[in-house]
Amino acid sequence: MSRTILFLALTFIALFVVSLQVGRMLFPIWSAVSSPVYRTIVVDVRLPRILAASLAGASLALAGAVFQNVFRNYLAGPGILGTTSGAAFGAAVAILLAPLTTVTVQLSSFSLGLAATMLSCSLARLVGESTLALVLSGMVVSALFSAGLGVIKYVADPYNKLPAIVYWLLGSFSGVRWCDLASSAPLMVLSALLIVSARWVLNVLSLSDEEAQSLGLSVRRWRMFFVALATLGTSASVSIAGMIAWIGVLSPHIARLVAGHDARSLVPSTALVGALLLLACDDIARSVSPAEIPISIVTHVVGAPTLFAILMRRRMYLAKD
Amino acid sequence: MLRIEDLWMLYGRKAVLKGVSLELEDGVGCVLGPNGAGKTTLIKCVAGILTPLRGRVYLDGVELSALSPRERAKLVSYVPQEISIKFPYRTLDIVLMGRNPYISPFATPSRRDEEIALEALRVLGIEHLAQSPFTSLSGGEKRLVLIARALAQGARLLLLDEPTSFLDFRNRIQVMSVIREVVEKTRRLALITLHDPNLASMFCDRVFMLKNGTIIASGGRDIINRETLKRLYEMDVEIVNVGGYPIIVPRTTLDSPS
Amino acid sequence: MRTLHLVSIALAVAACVAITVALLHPIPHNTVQTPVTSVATNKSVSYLVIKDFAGRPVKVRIPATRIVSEYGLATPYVYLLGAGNRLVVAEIWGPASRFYSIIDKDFQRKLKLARELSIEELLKLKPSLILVSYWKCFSRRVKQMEALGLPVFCVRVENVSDIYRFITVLGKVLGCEKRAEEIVSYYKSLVNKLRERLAGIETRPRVLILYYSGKEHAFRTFGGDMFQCKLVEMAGGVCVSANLSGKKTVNVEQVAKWNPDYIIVIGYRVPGPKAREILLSDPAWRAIEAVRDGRVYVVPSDGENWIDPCPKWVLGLYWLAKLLHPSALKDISIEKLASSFYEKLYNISLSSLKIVGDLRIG
Repeated sequence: MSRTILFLALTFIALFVVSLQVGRMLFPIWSAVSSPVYRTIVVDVRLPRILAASLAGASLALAGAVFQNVFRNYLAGPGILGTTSGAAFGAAVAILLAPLTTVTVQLSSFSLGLAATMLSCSLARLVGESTLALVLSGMVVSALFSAGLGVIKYVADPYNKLPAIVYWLLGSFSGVRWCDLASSAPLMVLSALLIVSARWVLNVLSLSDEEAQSLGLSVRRWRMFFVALATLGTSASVSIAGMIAWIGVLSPHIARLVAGHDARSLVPSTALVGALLLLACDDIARSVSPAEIPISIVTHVVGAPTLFAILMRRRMYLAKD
Repeated sequence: MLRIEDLWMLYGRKAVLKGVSLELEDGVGCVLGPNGAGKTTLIKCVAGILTPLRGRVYLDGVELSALSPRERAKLVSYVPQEISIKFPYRTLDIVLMGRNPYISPFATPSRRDEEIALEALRVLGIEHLAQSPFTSLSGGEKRLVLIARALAQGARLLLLDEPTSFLDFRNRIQVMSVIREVVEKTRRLALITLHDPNLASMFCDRVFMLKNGTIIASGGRDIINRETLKRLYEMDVEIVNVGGYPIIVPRTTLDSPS
Repeated sequence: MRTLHLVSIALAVAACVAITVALLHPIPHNTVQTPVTSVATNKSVSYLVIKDFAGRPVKVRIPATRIVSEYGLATPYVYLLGAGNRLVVAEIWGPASRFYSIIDKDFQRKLKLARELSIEELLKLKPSLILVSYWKCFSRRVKQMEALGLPVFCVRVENVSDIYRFITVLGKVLGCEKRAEEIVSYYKSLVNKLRERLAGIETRPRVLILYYSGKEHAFRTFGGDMFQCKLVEMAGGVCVSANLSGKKTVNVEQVAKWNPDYIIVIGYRVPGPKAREILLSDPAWRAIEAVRDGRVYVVPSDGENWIDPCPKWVLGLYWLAKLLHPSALKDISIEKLASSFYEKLYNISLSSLKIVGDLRIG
């Protein structure tokens, strides 16, 4: 088990170093020591971006793992409780109403992502306490905010605001600076660390509520704990980079292939896989062509076929329902 | 000893348990009764999964509702009727989950926990399944694994809700024998719900007949007779002695309840 | 044991990151100089600090020799000042590229490069000036460009004084102040002449501006905050959609309520004449008086519509005025005006251009 994690960690470190070298400007990385231009590019353009992509990838992947576990559903992702829809709506509102400052967009998407999830949880409490109630409420809230997003897109001026909104929705790490990272990173790191250290509880949570209760676990409390952490991490990622598809759903599947189902190895592996995956996608997005490719396009192209391939290979455990 | 005092439980406005009281000194206690009698509800109340409206449960003098879920889990284990595990965890990992009450939330199981889990599998004779994915086991094997989990929990009281359901003829007997053996060897208590009076008469030390939320009879194996069974299931039965064992057979094909 | 492994890995990662950062980071990043490595030249290089339309001071190396224009409405003014050859990347919208392909052989290549270039790509180009639209001014991308010392200038062309200001500033940056001055006075003299002609005229005909959006299969108009609407007012007309804002879809009932005296049609992806055809062939629009009386006109376009906020706006202004007040401009021929305009400012003859629309009116 720990060998897998070690392998993944080393791969990640290797990719990290390679990413510093990758970009539209090609120069050997050691020349950055002597030339101020190159140093600026490595330190101020690439490094914060690489860190942001890694952290966001890990956060989204962990959120996916948490939700797949808590809801006992392999297709659950960070958006299942409406977090991503709410965050998207929040960003669109900010873009529409305020001048295009990063701070307002970030803040608005973060807070509305949280609000959407809280709304889902409150609605679920009215319906019942089960996970099914949560999923249904999540669907309702997602639909609500998606509709709101549609209205905003309709109302927005098609020459300036609308392209800005659409571009944001496609997700991008372009322009991430140290100050942007400073506001999002602590939350992402904190939620990731807490999820990883409590990973044993995730195993027990995947049992039926009754069994988990009988094993001494306060199911409701721990479920909320994980949902809250996953939501924080997701909202922070979305606020810094917009909507990024597939990483949350796909990473746990890839991690399961190498690390198995046991949360003790799966959770850290998922975080590393997510970081690796998103970092690789962002490297592609920023270096393949002169203009940046929005990152969701890359993750879509990579994500959907990969998930399909994995599910095909693992037909075995899907049949068990 | 397990002592249940005057347990009341409602589902909505319907009373499912109406003042249930029973005592189990040691060994295997069976709760017999028709569908809807409240057997599962009773077990869940003792396990702490449901909170009864009124009444108390004592184990070895300790009142269970006063304990935190973790403390309670160290004393009482629950094996559910349905097997809900969908993910292909390793069998050993499933049993390891039984150690949860002893593992602090931000830690992972220790080597000792793993040893205890392995030992539980050994007691049940299924340690060869430790590395197999749970989802690939047969119904009987899965049931044994869940019992192993309950053992690993180190609980004094084993609660099993219809442990023979979904099992074939042979597995039913095997599971009941294993439960009996474990209870005797490790000096535990077990409270089992059953719907088959034959199994009760074969494996139980004490029998409690539950109908419509009340205990209508309790005692040793000998309380399983024609009168009690007629009251319980509202049907005529014949008790036949085969090689020293009482076998309970329905009298006729059923017409309307008499 | 496993936790120990994880912790050690985390520490290793942190150490690597720290070492990398330390190695590369003795200079605090907010005092980075312009990333353009100064090449030793004989020419004297000086800097100019100008204020852009968002009020930001922009430090530009003059004369600006490599210009990146990411804003479709700013590009034409660079060409207007005769500095089209200094454009490295030129963004333009829609059919306007038709005109600029004529005056710049290399235009298509410059247009191809125009998307939102990545930061590194921009740095590679070593631009002396980057023109962006003012609403992109506070985006994260522009902030990063600023932080890296790239000279970003936010442009707004919402009215005539914006245009005068932009031309003047560009003149300073490009080192063609004289030409800029000439152009601005040319514009101003034409505007004044028109004002004299229109002085005292009480009637202000009601005008509806339309274009057809293929995407939405509907006609759209401009609100009062848009340049086109303001131009109508300048030409002595009333823009019926003045109480709207931005670009809005219209329906026939609303138009009937407005009851314009004239409908003028411009073209973007769907050309003006085609849009007029669609309008006239739609039975619903026959309810509109202006349609019944044949007062639907197509604004001339050489690729750029004359009433858009492009350099040809003054032609659009005169065209509108002649349409709305034919007697006041009886002796003015739009063709002649256009001919001298293109000669003077672009050094091309009117006949070499294909003008789409109702050039001859009145």
